[in-house]
Amino acid sequence: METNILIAGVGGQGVITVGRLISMAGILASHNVVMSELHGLAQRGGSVSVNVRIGNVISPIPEAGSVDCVMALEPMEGLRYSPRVGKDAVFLVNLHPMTPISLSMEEKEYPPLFSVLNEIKRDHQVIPIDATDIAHKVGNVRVSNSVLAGSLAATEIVNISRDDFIVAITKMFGSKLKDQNIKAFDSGYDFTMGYLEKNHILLD
Amino acid sequence: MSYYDEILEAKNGQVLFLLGNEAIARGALESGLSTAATYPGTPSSEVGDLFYAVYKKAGMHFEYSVNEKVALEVAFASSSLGLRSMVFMKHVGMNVASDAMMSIAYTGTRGGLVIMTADDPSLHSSQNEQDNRHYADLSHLPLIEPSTPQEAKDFISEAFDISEKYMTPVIFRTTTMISHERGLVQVSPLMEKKKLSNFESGKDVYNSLPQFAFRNKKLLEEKISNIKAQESERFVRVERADENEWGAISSGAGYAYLKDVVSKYGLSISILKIGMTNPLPEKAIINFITEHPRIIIVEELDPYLEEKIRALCELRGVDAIIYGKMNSYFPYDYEFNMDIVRSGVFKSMGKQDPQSFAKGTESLLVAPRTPVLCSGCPHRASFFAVRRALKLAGMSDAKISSDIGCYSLGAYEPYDIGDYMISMGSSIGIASGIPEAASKRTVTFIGDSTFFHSGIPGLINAKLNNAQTTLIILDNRITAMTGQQPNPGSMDPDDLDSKLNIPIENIVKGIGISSVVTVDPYNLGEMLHAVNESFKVDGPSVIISRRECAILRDAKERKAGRHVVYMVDEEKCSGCGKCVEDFACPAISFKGGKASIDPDQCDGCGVCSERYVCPFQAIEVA
Repeated sequence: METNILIAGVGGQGVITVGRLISMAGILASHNVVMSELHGLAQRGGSVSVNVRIGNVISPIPEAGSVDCVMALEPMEGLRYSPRVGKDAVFLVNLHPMTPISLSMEEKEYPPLFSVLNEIKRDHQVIPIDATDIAHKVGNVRVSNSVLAGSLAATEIVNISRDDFIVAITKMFGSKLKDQNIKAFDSGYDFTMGYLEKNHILLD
Repeated sequence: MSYYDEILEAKNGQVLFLLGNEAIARGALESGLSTAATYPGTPSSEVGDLFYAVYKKAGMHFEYSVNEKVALEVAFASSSLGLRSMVFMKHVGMNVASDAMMSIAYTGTRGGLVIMTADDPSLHSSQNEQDNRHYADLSHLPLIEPSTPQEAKDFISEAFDISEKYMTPVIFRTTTMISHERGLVQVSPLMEKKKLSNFESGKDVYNSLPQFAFRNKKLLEEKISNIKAQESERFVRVERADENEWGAISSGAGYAYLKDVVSKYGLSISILKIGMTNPLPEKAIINFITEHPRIIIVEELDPYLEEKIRALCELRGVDAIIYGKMNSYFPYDYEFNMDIVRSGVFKSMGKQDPQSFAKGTESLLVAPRTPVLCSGCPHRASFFAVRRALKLAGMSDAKISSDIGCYSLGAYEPYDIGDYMISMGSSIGIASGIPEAASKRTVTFIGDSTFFHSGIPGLINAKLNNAQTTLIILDNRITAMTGQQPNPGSMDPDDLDSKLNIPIENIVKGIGISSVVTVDPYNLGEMLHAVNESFKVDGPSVIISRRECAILRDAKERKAGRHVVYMVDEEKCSGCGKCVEDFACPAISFKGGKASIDPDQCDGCGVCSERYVCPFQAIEVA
């Protein structure tokens, strides 16, 4: 039994940090975890992804088509991975867009958000969440990834309890950041619980 | 306690979630490491990040040397006096260090000396994907390859022991996946460091004069054949399947993919896992092949194992059917993954590949997102100014030679900086050799750290050739691309005026180049003027474009609670698009026919507010 999470985002968004957070929580829940990281030239401002594999596996990158959940820190990055993962993959999508330079340089605008989401929805279950906005409300835009971690916990795609996530946050962040991250996590968790209920979504 | 302190202070038996590179650093500390030296390079850099954070507490010497060759020389000197020492670098760094390594192989060592190379299959952040296992053959040195973070830590200790026992350096080879994979690692206790002790056998031991080297060559061959007899077989693990028909031989990252494929699909394949790939464990290989008539070889990059195993079978008269790269069951290029390995294994077994997943087509709404210079990056300002100056001077077709660092990204639109980019320091060497540089001006870019690493000899050559080039040294006060390491021009990121710094100006002047100016690239007017003036100089002219890395500055500003953000005055913005087209900052996009700045991404450098970027002066402090 293995669970594979793919975190997709833009270099600098904290892709690695949220990957480590999910991994730490997985370890606290007594799972074996391996994670791939990307460092160096391949990061800043570019499209980046990190894999977290939970279960009895050795290599840190799963087979094509066997991703269970895509956590998209940015909507277009979610759509980029949509055709690269199997139809079973559930998408948690942060709604805050970041316009790629390739569009701006041609004076083109970011495509309409609903079109981006609809294209992902064509093949996948999508749970949208305005993590950046929630993070702003918590008082620190940099905790938006903990909002998404809360959302992941609510879906129960990973077999990790809410408490294990909270302990992982406590271990990973300093005292001031810890409180904001826990608040962000809780907001993401509650929002997603509400969303699943409201839309009568039952995930396997 | 900081993250790295926790790794240093972890107690025997404790289980940590470590990056392969962190496991390697911990393993070296457990082995009683006294000296570590490196030049940062992805994917090896985090080994040094850990040492840099803890070396004082650990009571060891650590340095970011000026380049990989010097780093090896430093570690070697320490080893010659009995101290355990380590040097680590990316695969192409080994090319730089190899000159010293080839001779050190002959002289041998005393305190354990481990030379780590981190190869980069798929060229995630490199200019080639050379397979450094070949260096083991070239130098006649033993080479060890781990497959997981736990093994990375455990094998490092073995590498030190073997190095010391046989008085030879040991090469330790990882690939990107092993270095940048995080996994559970159980730690062992830290060993006492070795005592400094003078060498005994006469002053010629570490001298490579031909007559000494002549004798040492024989010793080198003896060492490697003793290691083959006594050590190589210890790094072997056989995992037996129920049946004996199929066997697979693998090492490094290839093993991890193979193992996952064999378990997932319940394949009846025995596995021979090799940890020391030079010298090969010939006994174990021959036994394994004798038991399994059909052999699949799974390894990334070159068919290093395969060539040797095929030769070995020929030599020993062992019949085996071998499936590998040489008969097209596996590709020669790029990093492996489970899919490539599964496909090769099933093809070897003459079975239908069970994978039915096929990638769909990418949505038309998805735009390319290649890496870009950060918002606030001083290189963007330098590139913008140089491009503009070239245009104004009617020199837009001038040849531009660039180098290795974040500024390599200048090769992308709209800056188009980098007709040439070859290897560390090569920008200036090339500039001094471009035939038209005798009459027509060229432009050369190099970063501060790369200039120290190997740009200085090129500049001396440019001076000797009186090359007509404008050299722009992009001094962002840090080795930025590999994760913010110090360099000889900025020894302490928290104290940019440290007395230890070696001023680049003094080096340039010392070579005899009188046309040297230092400019803040954020001041576009001054930068344009400097570039323009440099075009009038006869011979090489140097502009030091000095402004600290935006990431470094951001961290300091945040600490100080300062955060300035710029915005677009929609009334004043004409929608001309110059800012997005020519300046291309990731914080600026185009909305409703006007420029718009994302406050979450704006770094507050303010360069876009200058009239050269926005002729309508529509950008101001928010």
